Amino acid sequence: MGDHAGYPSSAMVLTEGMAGLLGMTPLAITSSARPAHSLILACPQARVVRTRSISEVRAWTENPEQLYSAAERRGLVERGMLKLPAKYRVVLVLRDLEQLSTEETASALGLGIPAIKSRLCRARLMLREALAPHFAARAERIGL
Amino acid sequence: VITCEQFMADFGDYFEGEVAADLRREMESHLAHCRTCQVVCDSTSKTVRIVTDSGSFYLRPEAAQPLIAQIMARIRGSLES
Repeated sequence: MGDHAGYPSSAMVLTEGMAGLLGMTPLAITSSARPAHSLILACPQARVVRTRSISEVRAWTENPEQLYSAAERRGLVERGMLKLPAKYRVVLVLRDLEQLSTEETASALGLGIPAIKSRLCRARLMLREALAPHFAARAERIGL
Repeated sequence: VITCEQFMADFGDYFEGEVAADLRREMESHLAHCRTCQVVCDSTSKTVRIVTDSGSFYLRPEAAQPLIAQIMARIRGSLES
């Protein structure tokens, strides 16, 4: 993971912690009745955010690639991508699968760069959630 | 110290290494103390790694179609203009 551009090593402390799947209930960010221990996942320009209990967050295994064969991983990725709304899936395919730049993706889709960045972030987070049941460690939930 | 909300609002740019130095420091400070955001960062990074390591693969028609339709519409638009 440290290979990813811009991803700081200080953010990688948790890996062997274990952890995982999150709830999926969309809530308005203005909710004053938000649970005491909640995490709001939002991206720039996102109008809807997701709130879920911190206790539900579980880390992934250290080397998730080792859990499945390459063919199985491709199947998981494909099924996960099918769960994404098309406008997010398209950006994910062009940026992360086809390795186009943000500018190239924006040009191909006729969208602005901020929209591409926002959709890519949302798409990655949504795919993360789709894959989490398969890659989250099975024990040691995070304590509050 | 920024909150999880603030952290996630800038997460996309942070993940891409596109935040200003000051904001980056604030986000890393938050990250150092927030296991939840650490998990989100870590698992998102692994997600991207898994996707990019998948390489090119056959996309079923229902997955590929929106992409093809959008790009074709774009091409048609540029031809007409």
